[in-house]
This record gives sequence, structure tokens and C-alpha cells, in this order.
Amino acid sequence: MAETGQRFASLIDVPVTPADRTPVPPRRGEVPPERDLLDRARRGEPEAFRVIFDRHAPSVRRFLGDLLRDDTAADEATQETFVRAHTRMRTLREDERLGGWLLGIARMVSMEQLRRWRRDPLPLSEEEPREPDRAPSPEAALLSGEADRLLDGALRLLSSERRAALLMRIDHGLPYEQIAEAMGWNLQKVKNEIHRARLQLRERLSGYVEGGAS
Amino acid sequence: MIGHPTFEELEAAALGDNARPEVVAHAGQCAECAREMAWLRAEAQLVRRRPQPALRPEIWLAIEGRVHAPIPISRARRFRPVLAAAAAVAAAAALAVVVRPPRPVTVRGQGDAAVSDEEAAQADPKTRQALDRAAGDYRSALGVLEQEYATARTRLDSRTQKRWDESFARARSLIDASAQARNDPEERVKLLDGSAVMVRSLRQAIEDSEEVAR
Repeated sequence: MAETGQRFASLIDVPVTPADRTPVPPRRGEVPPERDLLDRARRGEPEAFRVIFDRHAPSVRRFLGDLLRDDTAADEATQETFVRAHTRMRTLREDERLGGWLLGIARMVSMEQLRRWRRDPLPLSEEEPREPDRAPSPEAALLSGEADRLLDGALRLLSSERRAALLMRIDHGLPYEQIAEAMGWNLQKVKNEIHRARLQLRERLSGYVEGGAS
Repeated sequence: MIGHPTFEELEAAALGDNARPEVVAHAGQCAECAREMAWLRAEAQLVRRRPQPALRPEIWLAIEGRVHAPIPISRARRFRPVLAAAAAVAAAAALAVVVRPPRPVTVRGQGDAAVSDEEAAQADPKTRQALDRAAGDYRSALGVLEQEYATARTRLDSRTQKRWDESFARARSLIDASAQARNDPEERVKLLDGSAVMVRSLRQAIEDSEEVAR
């Protein structure tokens, strides 16, 4: 435990950078800015919608994988999310950010899927541990192990709504206001839910982290 | 700074979002806040370092088919039985590969590798025949779709034509690749699986177009 604690402690000193799937701000003159892209997509230009997909699909797919915990279902939900986004592109307000808006649609799609599963349950229940179909890099495999398994278990224990809010904040870097819009909650509820989710997470991870974090 | 910063200020500092220097300075002197920041950083680091799930190219193809394909085609449904038959044959062939009994282990020199591959392919002619038949059926299904498309192609703009042409070419190349991988049944099953996804997506797009045209 001491050794793993030290590994974890080393993480604490690493500056937290936005995840690599977070849309990268475009360099001037090379990639069209998001507002311009949106305008073109609203006018029905297929290439603009494709660029939007390329920028945001990794994040949407990851989010849906975390909510549904089933690769096939997450792929289908990603497809459905972007089809709905295409249909509703005109309803996106000027001041709304595309990333949060897409995650809001994705969350709705995932809720519908979860409801279908509740009506017609899969042979393997959601609570049962399932191996995600992800291929970690050797470095990730080296570092992960116990902490990642604990994290996975802790995330699984959160309700899907609470998990969605927490991941929007710490995995996808959305501000609380955008999470409130995406979830259809008021700001206070967003803060409360994320706070409770964090407490649950810490409870599960504390035994692992204490040695390194203190 | 007098007193402790708010949780949101600590969180912003921990996650690198608009960190205020006085908050960082306070955390440098206050063990309680430093510990809270360490937790926030560690949990974000753990969540964000998880591997990114793969984004399958078929997702975009299916989206594109659903949102950009207003092609009035009236007879698309007639290839359904062909596709269903192909799917059944492919499934049977895949099953044959999976449940095939293991071959007896023999000790050979390195020079026998090519002979070994050839023998392996010949050792299970039923599987090979089933895979040949599945590839043939997918080719037929694609042919029917291409006929449907050919009648509508002239009515499409050049950009849409290009997208559809590329999709058909991709589906054909997968089926061709599966025919070339004759000595590797597992690889053939994978390629045929990919062909099936492409053909189904094209079929779905054409059927959706048919609905739009009504």
C-alpha cells in the first residue's frame, strides 16, 4: 500500500491539464472557430458538421461509455446524439457552448437507454463489474492497477445522474453553469450533487490515497 | 488572504481554471486547504488519465447516412432477404471458426511456416466455404444497393455523390480484403463483420431516404 500510495502522491504534483479529448482551441487561420462552424452547420454544410463531429465525438463517446458502461450501446448512443444534434442545431443559443450542449443531449439519450434496460434488463446487470473494452497504453497500465479499479468501482456506485454531473465537471471540464443547463437542474443542485459524488468517491479511494496525500 | 478560500476557488486553483494567486499562496501555507487541493487534483488526474475509448468509423458513416442522404429510392427494400441470408451465413461461418476443434500440435522448423498456413486453411474446408459464401452474399447485397444508388445518383449534387461513392468503395474494399485473407479465417470473419456494418449502414441510409421521399 505504501508503494502504491507513493505512486499516487506523485500524481498530486502533476498539473491537471484538460483531457486530450477536450476540444482544442483552434490556431488562427488553420481551423475554423466554433461559432463559424456552427453557423455553417446550421446552413446545412455537411463538412462543418463533420468537423464538429471530429472535435466532439471522442468526448461524447467517452461520456456515454461512462454512463452506459456498454461499448455497443455507447456507440449507438453516440450516433443518436449527433443525429439529434444535427436536427436541433438551430435551437442552440448564441451564448451556449457546443460541448456542454452535446453532453446534455448525450445524457438524455443515455437516460432513455437506461430506461429501456430497466424495462427489458440485460442478462448482465449494471451493478455487475464489466471489463471496459479499452486498450490502455503500457504507461497507463503501469500506473493504473489498484487506483483505477477503485475509481471504476466508485464511479459505478454513483447514480447515473450524479455520475453524469461529476464527470461533466472533472472529466470534461464544464463549468457549473453549463452543467446546470445540460442536466436541467438549478445551480445549487448541481453543486450539491457534485459535492455528494465527490464524498462518495473519496470514501472509496481514501484508503488508497491517504498514504500519499498526507 | 484572510480566512480560507471558498471551495470553488480551491477547485479552480486545483484544476487550473483561473487560479487566483492569493488562493495558491494561501494553500501553500494552510495544511487544510493544501490537502483539499491535493484531493481535487488527484481525483481529476485519476479520472482524466483513464484510456480514451476507440471511436469506430462506422459511427460517423451511420450518422452521415441518417442526416445527409435525402435520396428518393423506391426499391431499396428488395435486397433485404439477400442481406439477411448473408448475415446468417457469416454468423454460421464465424461460429465455425470459434468452435473449431484445436489442431494437434506438431513440432516444426521455421521453414515450415508457409506450409503450415496453407495446411491450416485446407484443414477446415467447410469454414472456408462458408466464409466464401458469406463474402459472395455481401457482395450481392452491395450490388443490389449499388443498382438502387445508380438510378438516383444523377439527381445528387457532386459532393453527395462523392460521399456515397466513397462509402460504396470502402464497403467493396472490405469484402475484397476478406477474399484475399483466405488463409486466415479469424481475419476474414473480422473483415466480413466490418463489411456487414458498412452494408447495413448503407441500407439504413437508403431506407431512411425512402421514408423522406414519401
